[in-house]
Amino acid sequence: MIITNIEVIPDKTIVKHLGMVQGNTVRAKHVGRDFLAGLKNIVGGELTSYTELLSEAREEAVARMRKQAEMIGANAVVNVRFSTSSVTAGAAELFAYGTAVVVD
Amino acid sequence: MKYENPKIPEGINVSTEHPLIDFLMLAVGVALSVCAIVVLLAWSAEYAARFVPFSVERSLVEKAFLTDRYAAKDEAQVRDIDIYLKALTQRLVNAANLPEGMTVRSHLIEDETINAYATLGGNIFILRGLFERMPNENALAMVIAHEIAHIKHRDPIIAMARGISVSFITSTLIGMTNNSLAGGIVGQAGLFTALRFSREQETAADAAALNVLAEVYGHLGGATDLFEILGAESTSRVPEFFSSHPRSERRISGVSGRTAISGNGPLIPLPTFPQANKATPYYPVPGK
Amino acid sequence: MFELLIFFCLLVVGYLYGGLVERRHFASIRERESQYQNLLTFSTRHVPPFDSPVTVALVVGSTVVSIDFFKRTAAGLRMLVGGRVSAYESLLERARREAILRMKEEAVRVGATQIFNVKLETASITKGAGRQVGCVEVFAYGTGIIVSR
Repeated sequence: MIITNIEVIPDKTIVKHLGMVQGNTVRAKHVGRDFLAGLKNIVGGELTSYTELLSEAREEAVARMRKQAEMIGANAVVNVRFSTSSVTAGAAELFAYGTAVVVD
Repeated sequence: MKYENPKIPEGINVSTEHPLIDFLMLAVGVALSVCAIVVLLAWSAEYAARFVPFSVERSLVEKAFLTDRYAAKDEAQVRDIDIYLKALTQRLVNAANLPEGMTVRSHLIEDETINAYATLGGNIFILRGLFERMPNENALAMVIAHEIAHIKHRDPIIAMARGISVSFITSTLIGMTNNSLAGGIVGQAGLFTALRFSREQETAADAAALNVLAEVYGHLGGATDLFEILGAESTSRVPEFFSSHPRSERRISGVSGRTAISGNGPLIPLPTFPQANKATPYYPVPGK
Repeated sequence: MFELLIFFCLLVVGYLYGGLVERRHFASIRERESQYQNLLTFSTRHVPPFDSPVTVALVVGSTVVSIDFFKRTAAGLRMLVGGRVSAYESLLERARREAILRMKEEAVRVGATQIFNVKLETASITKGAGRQVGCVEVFAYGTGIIVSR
């Protein structure tokens, strides 16, 4: 399954457009990560535990989007867009959406 | 190029676990973890608090304490009741086998509440309400001996250390939940566990006080009188696990178990003292 | 003690009635989705050529959805433990599908037959205002293609 954020894939033609597919997940951090991040706030720098958490969540969102595309018979998802928002203090929603297409 | 919108099947973007099971597992898991954390904190607090020497505890308290501000300025201000209390306390202290350097002082507070407590620095406070309610000297002696036992076991400073550390951690966890009921679950779990420790301290103080009573008076009469009064006075029917003290019935059976050993005996009546004058604050007897 | 009782009642009401409201909402969403199944939506920007002249119109749809007390408490406990917050996932699913449906409703009103370049925005409404959060706004917008006869 090709997943891309361009519209026209080089060397491939889109045969059928199958509509929007979406994948999202909401993840919360836990006490341990929060505490360490709080300490890190004192010195500054990258909060690696949060980075990992959000990357995992994003992968899961993309996996869900891919599953929706598979279920409707697509073999590529184009024009993929991401959105991250904090729905409540302590939890983030990772959202990925795109258009499922059939390419040859 | 064809454009279509086939129907997407349900259930991909939602989780499949049943919400009730999810909630119960979360609630039970969080409550048990909080209990475990509180138990660890309570043990560490007790271990650490014992390192603070009693002399340090007493000098810290004396700096902030009001006793000297209210100390009697001359002989005329000292009341009979304070002298009596001091003498009774001294008799019990002599039988209590306190460690070297530990001193105990009793103070009578002019308040109608039926209560008595021991605080830092070896200070015991008896409230007028409790004093008036005592049927005989033996019951009053049981109260004072119980508080002396708390001081001997260093319970005031241990309870303070435990209270500070447990509240700190539970407040942090409650803040992280961002929800009043989830925070309530965490708080209640922490509270129940901490109360368990408090009840253990009370039971230990009861046991030590009974030993002192037996040594001073030769029998344990009067101890059950105290618990019966406390049981009758408590109007709220809270279950035991909500309370910092064991149930009165349990405390009475703790005594009855020993009455077989020490038997019953003459109960000394309390001397009568003039009614409290609310306008006059209490005047502890000057000196140690 | 009394407080705990009140909370327990709220929890039960939240679970039973809130669950009912959610199921009804999802049923309504599914029904309307099958109704609008022929109104095609895509997130691609490229609009294919049409035989007759077309006009374009921006169509939008938005909604603010909140969750019940039971789910809110479960989410609060989840904040300590970490992991997937399933309560919010279903909330967002509802909000997104509802927002897209409202966008389609507006498209029908203006006479569009297809919507291109659909984008979605999610925002938390009451996040900063205190601890009792759980409101999410989803906003969907796209370009509707109106084929003139």
